[in-house]
Amino acid sequence: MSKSEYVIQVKNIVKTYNGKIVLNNISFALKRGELLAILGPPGSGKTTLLKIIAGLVKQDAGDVIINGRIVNDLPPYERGVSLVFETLALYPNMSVYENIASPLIAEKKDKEYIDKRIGEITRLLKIEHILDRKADKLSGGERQRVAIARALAKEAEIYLLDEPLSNLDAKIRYALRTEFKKLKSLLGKTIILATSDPSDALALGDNVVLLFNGAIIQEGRPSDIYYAPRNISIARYLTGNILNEVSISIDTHGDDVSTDIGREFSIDPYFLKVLREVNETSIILTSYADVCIIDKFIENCSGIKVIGEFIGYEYRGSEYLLYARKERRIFRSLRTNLPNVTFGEKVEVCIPHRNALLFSSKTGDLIR
Amino acid sequence: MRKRNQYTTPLILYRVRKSLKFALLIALLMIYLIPIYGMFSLAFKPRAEIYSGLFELTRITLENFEEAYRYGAYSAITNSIIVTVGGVSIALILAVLASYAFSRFAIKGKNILMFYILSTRMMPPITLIIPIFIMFFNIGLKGTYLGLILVYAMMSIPLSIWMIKSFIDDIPKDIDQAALVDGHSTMFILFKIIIPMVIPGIAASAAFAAIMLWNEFLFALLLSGVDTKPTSVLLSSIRGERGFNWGRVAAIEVVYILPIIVLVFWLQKYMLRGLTFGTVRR
Repeated sequence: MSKSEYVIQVKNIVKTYNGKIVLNNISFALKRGELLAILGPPGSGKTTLLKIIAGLVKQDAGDVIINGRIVNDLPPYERGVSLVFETLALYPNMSVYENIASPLIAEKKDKEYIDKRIGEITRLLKIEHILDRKADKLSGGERQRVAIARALAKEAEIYLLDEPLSNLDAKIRYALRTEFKKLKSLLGKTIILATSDPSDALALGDNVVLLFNGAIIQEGRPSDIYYAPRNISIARYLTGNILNEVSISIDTHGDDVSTDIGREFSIDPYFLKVLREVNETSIILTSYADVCIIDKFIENCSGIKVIGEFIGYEYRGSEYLLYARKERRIFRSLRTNLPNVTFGEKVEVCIPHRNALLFSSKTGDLIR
Repeated sequence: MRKRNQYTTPLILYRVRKSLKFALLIALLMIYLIPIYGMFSLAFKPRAEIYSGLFELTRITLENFEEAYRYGAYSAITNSIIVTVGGVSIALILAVLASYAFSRFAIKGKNILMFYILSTRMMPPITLIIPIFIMFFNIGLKGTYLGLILVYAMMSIPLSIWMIKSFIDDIPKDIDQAALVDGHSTMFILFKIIIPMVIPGIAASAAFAAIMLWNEFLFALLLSGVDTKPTSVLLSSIRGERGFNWGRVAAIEVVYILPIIVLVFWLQKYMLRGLTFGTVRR
C-alpha cells in the first residue's frame, strides 16, 4: 500500500511535560473515511495527542503526516484538520450562527456560501432553529451540536473529536451516537474520536486504539478489543469494572481444581480440559455480564456453575442487570427479563466457556 | 407563650447577634454618610446660614453653585474629565494588549516582568515627581493636558494589567485554540473574541483607575497649568476674601463627586467582581 492511501499517519510521537512522559512512541495510520476511536481513561494523553495532530501542541519527537506531507511545522489552519474540543470552546459572546460561520469567515468565504453551508449543516444536526441564540444560552446537547457543526463547517481532511459525547445525558448521547454514524456515512470523512467511554469507542470506531498512561497498549477492530482484551485491566476497563471474575488454581498432575468461591461448583468436562490445556496453575476466569447467566435453575451450563445468593438488580431501559453473590465475589448478568426470584434467595450462576476469557493470575495477560 | 427549648435559644441568640451586627453596620455607615450629608447641606444653604448648624437646612439655594461657576469650578471639572478619561483610555488600551500577552504567550521572565510592573505602584509618587517635572518642563509637556494624561496612564497601567490579566486567565485557552484551528489571526482572537468576553474586567479596571485619577492631587498640582488645572488642585487653592467660603467649597465638592458616584453606581457589579479578582480559584 502506498503512503498516499493514508490520509493521516502519526509516527513515533513523543511528548513530555516537565520531564514526565505523557505520550510515548505513538504510531497509527488512517485511510480515508475511517473512524478511529482513541480510548483511554482521563489523563491518558488523548487530548494532547489530538492537539499535536491539530498543531496546537508541539511534540518532542515524531511526525504527523497528512496526505503524505509532514505537517510538523505547519500552523493549525494549514493542516486541513478540524477539532471539536472537550470543553466545546464555543465563543460565548457570539450567536450560534457566528460560531458556526467562524471557520468560513476565516477562509473569507462569501455570505451566500456561508449561509448555504450553515443551512446544510444545521439541518443535518437539527439546530437550524437556534441560529440566533447566544452560545452561552444553550443547553448541553445544543452546545455539543453547535461545536460539532462549527467543526463540520470547515472543509477539512480530518475531523478530530475530543470527548464529543461526554457530560451528556443518556438520551442525547444515544441520539448523537446515531447522528455520528449517519454523518460519517453521509460525509465520508476521516474522523479521530477520543473518548474515555468504552461503549462510545466500541459503538463508533472502525478501529480502536487503547491509550493507557501515554502508550498504546492495544489496537484493533472493536470486536477484537472487546472479545480479546490483551490484559485483564483492559477487560475491567471495557466493562467499567463490572467484570465477572473467578480465580482458579489447577493441580496439573491431578483433577483437583480450586477456586476463590469455595468448592461448591460444577464444571463442564470440556471446560476442565480447556483449563488444563492452558498450562497455567493459577488463572482468572472472566466473563462479561451479557454472557453470564443468573437464574433460579440453569439446566445446561457448558462452563462453570455455582450456587449464589440473589442480591438485587438494576433496571437499564431495555435490560436488567442482575446481581448474585458467592463468597466475596459478585456476579452480574444482563437479562431482558427478571427471573422469578426474591432478594436473598439461592440462584444459579453460569459462566459459559464460550466467550469466557482466561487471564494469567501472575501477569494479567490474556491466555485464551 | 412559647417554651424555651434547645431550638429556640440559639434562634434568639442568632437574632440578637444579627441585630447587633446590623446596628454596628449602621453606625459605620453613618461615619461615612454624615460628612457627605454635611457637604450637600452646606452646598445648598444660603451663605448667611452657613454657620447655623450642619443639619439645619431651612432654605435651599443655588447661589453657592453660581459662585462656584464664577470661580472656574466647571472648567476645572472639565479638566478633570479630560485628564481622567485620557489617562484611563491610554492605560486600558496598553493594559489590554499587555494582559493578553502576559496571559497567553510564553514570555521569558514573565513573572519577574509582572512583579516589576506592579512594583512601580509601590514606589511613593513623590520620588518620581522631580525627574518627571524636569523632563516635562524640558520637552514642553508641563502645563499641558497631554503631560498629565501620560503620567496618569503610567499610574493606572500596573493595576489595570493585573486586573485584566486575571479576567483573561479565566477564559479557557481552548477558546483561543478553537479560533486558531478555525484559521483566525491573533488580532482577531484578541479583538473579536477575548475583549468582548473581558468587558466586565475592563469596566472594573476603568472604574478603579478613574476613581484613583479623579482624586489625584500631587502630579496635578505640579504638572498642570492655569488652564489645565483639575478640580483637586482648584479645591486646595480656594481662598475667600474674608477667610474660607465653605458654601462655595461644598458646591464644588458636590459637583466634583457626582461623576464618580454615577460611575460607581453604573459599574458597581463589575467593581465587585474586580475587587475579588485573584481571590477565588476558578
